Amino acid sequence: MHEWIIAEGIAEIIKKKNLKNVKIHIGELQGIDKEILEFSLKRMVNCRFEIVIDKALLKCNVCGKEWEPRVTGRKDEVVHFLPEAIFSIESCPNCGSKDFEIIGGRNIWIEC
Amino acid sequence: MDRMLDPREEIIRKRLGKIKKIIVLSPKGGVGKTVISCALAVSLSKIVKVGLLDLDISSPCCHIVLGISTDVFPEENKGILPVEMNNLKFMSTAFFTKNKALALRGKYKTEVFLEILSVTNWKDVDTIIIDTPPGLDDTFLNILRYLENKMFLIVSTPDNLAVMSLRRSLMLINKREILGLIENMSNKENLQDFCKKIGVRYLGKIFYFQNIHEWYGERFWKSPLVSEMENIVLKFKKDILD
Repeated sequence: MHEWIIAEGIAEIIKKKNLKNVKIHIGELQGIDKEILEFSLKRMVNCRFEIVIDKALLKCNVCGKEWEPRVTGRKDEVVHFLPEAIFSIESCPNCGSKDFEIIGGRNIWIEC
Repeated sequence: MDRMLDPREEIIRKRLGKIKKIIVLSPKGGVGKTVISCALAVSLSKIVKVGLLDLDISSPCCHIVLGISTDVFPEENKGILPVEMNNLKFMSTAFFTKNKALALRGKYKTEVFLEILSVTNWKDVDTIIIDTPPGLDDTFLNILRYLENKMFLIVSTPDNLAVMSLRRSLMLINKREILGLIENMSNKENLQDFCKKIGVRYLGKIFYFQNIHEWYGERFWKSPLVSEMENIVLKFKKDILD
């Protein structure tokens, strides 16, 4: 499962850097199941952690419109595995441009 | 102090560290990297467990050359499993974008690079051929930064513009990581002396095929181009198998 691989990567960093207390940010577009990730991580590391889901948000480079995408990272959508596929799916609801930024909900990163 | 750490870098190191990678490279477009990458992958699939990764993120075409359908979504098992055809494992952004356009600014190309390399489960593959986009942009820089255990296979036509671009790009690559050069769309052996001058191994040439596009699809696997590639592979087979 996708969550297991993500958990392995996070666990490697926690162990290598001997981290004791981390906040794990999961972008909504990644479609990671928070409970499965928590379950996986608890079996891999002995570290205090909090998982935070960052909401997906897009912003048009042409007109400045910000919007929440129609697609999310649900497992039945291509965005789940490749969030940048959203550029082939979404357009600005205001001007129709495909030149936009993902300003929220894209990445997985560890804050320590 | 807060620090941002990306777990994908660790995943890539763990998944791909031991797998040999042959990066098919040319700074100039239109020299035939995609066709050479596909022919190389097909040739090698007969002697090693090989994968082919299409990293031409915005304009993937390997699936067209090889006749692999992108209608079916790859299966999932500890990541995405590459699609397997005739002992060759294949992955491309085309599986995610289908035939829709994907226009990406630079930083998103890096995100796609990290994502597709971390999420693909290549299990049991010994060597991965990587087709790259033309130029020396984000994908090239990311390859230098994130991928270990790699060799560059340079593709060039005898055209002077391609050769001049190639000469410039060689300043950025560690010579010990260059597997050699394949001359594509050749009429005569123009590049052999050039390779001697720059200290790069000349692996051979592929002659110009007038209607190569007629071979795209399942026929490609038994094409004359693949036969020519099989002869070239004999020259560096040892580098792959060791």
